Amino acid sequence: MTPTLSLDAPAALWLLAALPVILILWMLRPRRPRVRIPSILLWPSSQAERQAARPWQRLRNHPLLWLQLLIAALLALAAAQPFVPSEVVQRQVIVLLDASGSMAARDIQPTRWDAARASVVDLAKSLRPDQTLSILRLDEEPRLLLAGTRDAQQVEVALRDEQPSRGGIDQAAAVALASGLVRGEQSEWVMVGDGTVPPLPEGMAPPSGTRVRFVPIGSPTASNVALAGLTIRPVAAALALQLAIQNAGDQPASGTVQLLAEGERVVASSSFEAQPRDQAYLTWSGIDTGPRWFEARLTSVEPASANHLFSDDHAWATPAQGGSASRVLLVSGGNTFLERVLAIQSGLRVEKISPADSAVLLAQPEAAYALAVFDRQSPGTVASGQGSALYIGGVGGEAFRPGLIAPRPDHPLLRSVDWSEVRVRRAFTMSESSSGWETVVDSDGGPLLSIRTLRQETAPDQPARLRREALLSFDLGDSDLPLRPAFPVLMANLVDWLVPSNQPLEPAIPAGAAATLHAAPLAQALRVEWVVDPDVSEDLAPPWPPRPFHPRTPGVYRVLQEGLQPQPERFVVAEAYAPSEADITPRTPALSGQSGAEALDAAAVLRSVRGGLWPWLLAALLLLSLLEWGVDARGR
Amino acid sequence: MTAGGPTFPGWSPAFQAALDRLAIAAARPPRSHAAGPVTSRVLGRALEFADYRPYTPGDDPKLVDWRAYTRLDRLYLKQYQEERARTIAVLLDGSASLDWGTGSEHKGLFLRQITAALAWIALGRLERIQVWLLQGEGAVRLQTPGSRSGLATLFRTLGELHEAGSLRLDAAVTSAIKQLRGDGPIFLLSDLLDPAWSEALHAIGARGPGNVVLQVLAPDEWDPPLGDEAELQDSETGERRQTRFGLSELRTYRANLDRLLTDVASVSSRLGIRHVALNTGEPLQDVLLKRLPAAGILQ
Repeated sequence: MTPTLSLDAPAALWLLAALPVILILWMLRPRRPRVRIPSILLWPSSQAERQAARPWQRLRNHPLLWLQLLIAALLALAAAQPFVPSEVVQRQVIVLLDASGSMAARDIQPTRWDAARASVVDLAKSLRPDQTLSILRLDEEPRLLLAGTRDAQQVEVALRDEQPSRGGIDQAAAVALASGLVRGEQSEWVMVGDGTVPPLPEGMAPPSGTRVRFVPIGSPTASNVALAGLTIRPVAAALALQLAIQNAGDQPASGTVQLLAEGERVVASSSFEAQPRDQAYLTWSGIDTGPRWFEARLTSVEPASANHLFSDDHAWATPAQGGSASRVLLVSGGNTFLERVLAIQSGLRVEKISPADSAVLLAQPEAAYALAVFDRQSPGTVASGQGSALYIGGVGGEAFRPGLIAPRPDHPLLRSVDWSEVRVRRAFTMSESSSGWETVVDSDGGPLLSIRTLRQETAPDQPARLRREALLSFDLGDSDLPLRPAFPVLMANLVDWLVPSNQPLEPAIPAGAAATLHAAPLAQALRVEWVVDPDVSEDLAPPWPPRPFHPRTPGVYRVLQEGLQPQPERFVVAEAYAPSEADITPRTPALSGQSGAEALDAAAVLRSVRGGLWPWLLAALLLLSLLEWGVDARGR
Repeated sequence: MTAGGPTFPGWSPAFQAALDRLAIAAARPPRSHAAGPVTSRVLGRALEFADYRPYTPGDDPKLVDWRAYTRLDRLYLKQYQEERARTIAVLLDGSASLDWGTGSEHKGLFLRQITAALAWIALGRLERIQVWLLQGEGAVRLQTPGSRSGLATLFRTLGELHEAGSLRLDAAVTSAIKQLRGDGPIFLLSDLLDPAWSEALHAIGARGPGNVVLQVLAPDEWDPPLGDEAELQDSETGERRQTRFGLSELRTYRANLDRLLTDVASVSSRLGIRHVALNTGEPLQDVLLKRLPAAGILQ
């Protein structure tokens, strides 16, 4: 469809009334200065002279007349602020604004993000009066920035404080959000960005009839060198670090990387060379184990045109954080299988006690255990101040012989656990007073494995905490479970769930993503703070469970757990490198390729002209004025 | 003859002395009966010998050449060409179209100076001169002296004259001719910017050959400058014409002027009138001492 001219101020077209005025002026007999001469005998007579007696004259077909009419028409048109609208044809326009990490690239000045915002504002200016514009911000968590407007100023305000994220785009969420926005009406989606969009999941597509168009942002020659990952491993009494460098461009690149201890002291500096579309590696060994975290910093890249994205020029890593082992109390009259399987669990310090002495020990508040394992002991004997509990047998219900065992598929606690060969001779039903249990392994007689999470109020002025319990409703001696490979795996899964490791579950949070940090069972609060600026902190819990941590700035964060003695020092790294954003070469998004929408014209879709047609009109007016001057001068 | 008597304003003694050496050429002999400085066709008593003829009864015996009788024994009469007087008529255009130009380039002043010069030359040669001022449809004869001693009055009159009003050239010339006495040459001094210029020339040409037309135009009329659009107003008729001093208009004007000069010259030649077109931008001395003698009007 050929775009037609639209006017932003159509009321100004009343200036076209100047055209008949010009015609009238040309029809009026001009008053010229009177010159007295000896005789007019020799002077040629003119048309005007023949009509001198009348106040008007016949309209002459003179080039000056046409030029003046054209200039007046152009002036009126310029006052009406014409513009060529985009090829957007639907009334409802959804702008999918790419806010992924690659939009921070500086291959166009000042950034792709600024250019994309300007394009959206231009699009808003080019809309017809009957069109509305909605803006969806595309990143890991797509959200609606503006709905149903055609006010370009409002669009500017909405985009003013927005900045690109560091991660990729959740394309499926974006399409779902946009689809819900249009409510089944015909709409046109205009994607503004560099096209680094993952493909849609199978079967997901924009609504039928949706016209999808793309406004490419970015230079085709854009390149990027990224620090793809920094890893640390202990070697003897020192540390060895390895850095992966990714050259995501089409030209060879070289440069220098500095290794800093805790972001302040340079401990090493190395040069690298990376071939196009390849990775290079730097290794440092013999690094002192003292620093709690390291930072690799890309300080220079040659040629400079090989690196247009600076946000992934840093990488961080923390050495393995040992921490203190969790104390586990095994209350058992003697169970070799149980003692051995607990002994091989890392990070646990197991203390064994007889059931007779357990009540006294557990009653002491200073003897806080992260986990108490009760072998053939009744549930509920653990003091409130203690941690989690694992009950194995000792359930006082009715005995039954499970015939058919039904483990819940895909349950995390049953990961890699093969129950198919496990046989149970006798199990017990749970008492009716027990509540809140979630069955993990069921049978035709009753649950075999159950878990629950209790909210435990400690004191009126203290926040509540969570207590986890697991229950095997049969004695290990009444089954062949301890003889099966499933047993150590099951116990490892149970211990991991009952006693979250001191190591963060997410050793590094991907760029732009959120992660749930687990706290120790006895922790009363969970908080993270940025090592560069402790004032940048965030309370994750309470309330429990902790809410996901979404780091705003890449770097190293300290994880603080209140209520633990001693206070473990844990760090979590928010990565700057996003694999999906490292290659910043603009490309055609695959949005419509899998959809039923119209074919995507990836080249040039948006035809809006920044600032309207003013520059062209002014240039035309200038040329016409010069032409009029020339015609007038030649006529003399 | 030496310079003396009144002088026209602006004339130098040297210029006046130069005029003393000039005479108005006679293209045809005078038919006047009065004696004068111009040789007539009439044979009679005079100093210039013309021819012999046999005596016939009734001839004046005083004219018989007795010396030839003694030699030839026949009576012959000696014949002489008599020098007769002539009256020079100057028809001076006094219309508003002559009121154009500044300073010495003023058309009216230029013609009045020529008129004064012709009067000075004529009276210096003991010839009679009449000056007729053409205005409206008639002609007014200015008071003209019989000798140079009375020229002061004419000069004052010419100096105070102001060209104004309209003129019908043919009617005014005809009126003047009707009032003329004598058969001397007629000098028409005008710009001929009149539709009836041809009729005027025919009226003069009917008097016979030997008359003179001095057509005078100002420099701005010979070569008008470029300018903007204007409404032209005829100084005599008041008629207006819309035009512009553009290149195309000036080209047309010059073509019209060339055609007018060519037509006037052609008609004049056919009528035996000597025509000279003058530019008031030329010095008066060059006109009187070079142009007119070169044209055979002065000698």
